[in-house]
Amino acid sequence: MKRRDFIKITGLLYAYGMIAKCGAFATVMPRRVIEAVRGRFYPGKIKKLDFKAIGKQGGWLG
Amino acid sequence: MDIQCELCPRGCLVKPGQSGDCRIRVNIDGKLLAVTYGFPCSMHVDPVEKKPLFHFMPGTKSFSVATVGCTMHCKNCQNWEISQSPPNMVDAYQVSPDQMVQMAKRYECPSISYTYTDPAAYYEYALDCSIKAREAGLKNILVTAGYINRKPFRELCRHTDAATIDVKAMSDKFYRDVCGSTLAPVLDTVVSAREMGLELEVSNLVIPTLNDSDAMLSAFVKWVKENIGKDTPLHFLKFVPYYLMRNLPPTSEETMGRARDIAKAAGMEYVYVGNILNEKWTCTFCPGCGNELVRRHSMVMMENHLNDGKCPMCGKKIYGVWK
Repeated sequence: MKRRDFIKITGLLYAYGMIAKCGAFATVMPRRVIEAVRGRFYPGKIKKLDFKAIGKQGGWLG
Repeated sequence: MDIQCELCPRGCLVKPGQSGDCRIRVNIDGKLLAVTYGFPCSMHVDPVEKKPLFHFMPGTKSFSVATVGCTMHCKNCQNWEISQSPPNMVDAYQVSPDQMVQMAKRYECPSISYTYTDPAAYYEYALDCSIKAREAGLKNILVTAGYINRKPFRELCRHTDAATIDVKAMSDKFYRDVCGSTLAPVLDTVVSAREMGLELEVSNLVIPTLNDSDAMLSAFVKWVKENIGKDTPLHFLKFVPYYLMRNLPPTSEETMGRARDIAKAAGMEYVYVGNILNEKWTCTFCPGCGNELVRRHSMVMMENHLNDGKCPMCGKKIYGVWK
């Protein structure tokens, strides 16, 4: 086997391994949980503090 | 390993990687984690009267916060965009309990209100913020529908000063059909709040054809009077069609007046009507001599004639925290 073929096969095996691993992970945990556990737990977007808007009365009831 | 959540009466059995009914607590590696902890989606400076809370530090501002989610799923929810959405659908700020207290102080608010959605849903965050707020000399206010188990609620009450609890209707069928929950735990929460010494006010959203009958309103007033006292401030709130209940009309002024009359006739001392511009229905009158004590316009306090929490005319002590 040539060196070039060896790198190609190893690369393909690694890629298949990664896909299989991610697939197994995805079947155990739903996407939103994967996103939730990644980093800071909150699955939604983080917005910047807007001190002007915060200082005003809220539009929500209660 | 599955975990049973003990926060609200629903008692969800949460499988690994899944969340409970509230969509907030996720079973990660055998531990329930609230994904909204430290991530409020709404923060504003409101008058305390907006909660509604009329007998607690009137005329002051309250730093009002909420995260996404709720323990109930009311078809008429007025804040449904944040209460009924999953966390991944709503943008949020990242604010630790310490930062929350600093922000309340920055805006010169003497209290923090846990409101808009339901503090029962973001219990851990509300509890930690309350503890930090107390240490910093701030008051804590809960605005809740009361669908929470007794033990965690009482723990939260230890760090809370005042509460507005919304009793939707005196009917278990109503709770099951409209809110996807049950009545008994809510009533237990109301009694617990009073027993724990909170300044307590009770609200009731009057919805045409669903809970606006004389019998339903009378049952509600009777229960409040017998179980938490006639001095409990009552707020009847006008229904406005929102979310999944846009087929019903807004509550008429006549119906709101009828609800108020029923409560007054039953002997309730402080009865208010909200979401309607009628100054007479938002003022506080002395139950002893009828003197006007606090005049409000909508949610703004205009005049406060109370003298050290007492009526200046007859000296009757008025329920509430007035300083």
